[in-house]
Amino acid sequence: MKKLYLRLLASAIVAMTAITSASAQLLPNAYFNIDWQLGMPVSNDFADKTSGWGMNFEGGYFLTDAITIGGFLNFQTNFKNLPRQTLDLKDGSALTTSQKHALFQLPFGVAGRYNWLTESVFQPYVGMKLGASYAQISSYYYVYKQYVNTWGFYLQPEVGVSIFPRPDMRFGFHAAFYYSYSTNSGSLLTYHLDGINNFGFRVGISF
Amino acid sequence: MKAKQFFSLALLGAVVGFGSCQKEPSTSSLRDEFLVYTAYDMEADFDAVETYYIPDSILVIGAPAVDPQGNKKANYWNDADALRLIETVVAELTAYGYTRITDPALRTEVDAGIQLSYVEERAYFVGYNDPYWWGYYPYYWAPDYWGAGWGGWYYPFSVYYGYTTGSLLTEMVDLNATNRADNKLPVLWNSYVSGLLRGGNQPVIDEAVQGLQQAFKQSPYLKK
Repeated sequence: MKKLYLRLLASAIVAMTAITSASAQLLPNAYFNIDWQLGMPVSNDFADKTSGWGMNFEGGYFLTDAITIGGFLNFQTNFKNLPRQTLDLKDGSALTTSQKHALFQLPFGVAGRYNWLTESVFQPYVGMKLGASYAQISSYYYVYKQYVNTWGFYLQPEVGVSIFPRPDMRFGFHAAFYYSYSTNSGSLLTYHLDGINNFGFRVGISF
Repeated sequence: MKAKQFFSLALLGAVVGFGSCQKEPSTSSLRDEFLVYTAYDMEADFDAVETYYIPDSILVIGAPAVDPQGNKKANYWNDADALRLIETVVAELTAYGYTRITDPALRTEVDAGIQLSYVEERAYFVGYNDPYWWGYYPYYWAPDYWGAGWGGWYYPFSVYYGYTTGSLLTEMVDLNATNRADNKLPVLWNSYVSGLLRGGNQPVIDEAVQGLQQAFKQSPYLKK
């Protein structure tokens, strides 16, 4: 966890360095977010433990005072510990072992927002992200890792707020709640994943 | 210029952030527990297997011993611990209805041979497409141990496993097999118990016993 925080901090420092060299908004009519992400899988028995191993990167352009369009990429890893159990692998083989499951998601695509109060300190918005999602489902047991790579369509509505202590500088903070769904499916050992749902929370910097 | 600076720095930040974006779980605790894998020939008729012979030693897969003439020869493990493991297999087979033949002179006359091997210091992979890993071990349970004329070995079922150090292998071979022109000896059932080392060089015998018992427990099709 320390490493993640260090990287997050490094990203923030990099961004702040860039900001200090700018006198105002970095790019006219643009915004950027770098967030730490907490993800809670829903309806997912494979790896259902809430995890803070995630980050979100997003940028967009103000088409109007209220509407932005841009791109995003985020990632998230969730885990689950499974005690020793016997798995009937259906091909005549069986495996008894303890496991750790990991679900890694990396969606990316386009992001759109509708913003309010864009001249104020608190600037709320609703948004939608659409794109592709790469997900790797993995089982770790003994010294082995068995995994499957999957791809799917990604959809993610969110509500959030950008907080700019000085709106004219457009450098501040960002917080958002989101729900995501992707069509990724795959089978591993005796487990099957058919669609991935998450609730989550993001907090980070906005500029 | 400022925009260029910004993009360079933002890109650097993204690279730093993505450097290890996929988090791996800690697996150290997983190595402290044994694993049991079993597989069998789903077309095998275990009801036809009445008698079996099991050697009084466990083959040790590792650095081979060398005889006075400098020839490599097999290492066998046959102390009290090895005997305990062999007796565990015997007890499980007896409970499943098989009859043990103990006369070595009759070992080629039984329905099945049971062979135990312990991987002491090598890791090899056995897979359906390349099952002849024992080719690296000319001193592995030689097919002619079970009688003259056997032309090698084969698994009639898929096996995908890396046999790691500290693993105990048990195989049941079909000594009644007559359906192959090349006389290869089929393995009807195998088990793989791994994770038996706990920081030392010797396997934890209690866990090996539990592992063998689990191997039979998860193979109910062996029961007569």
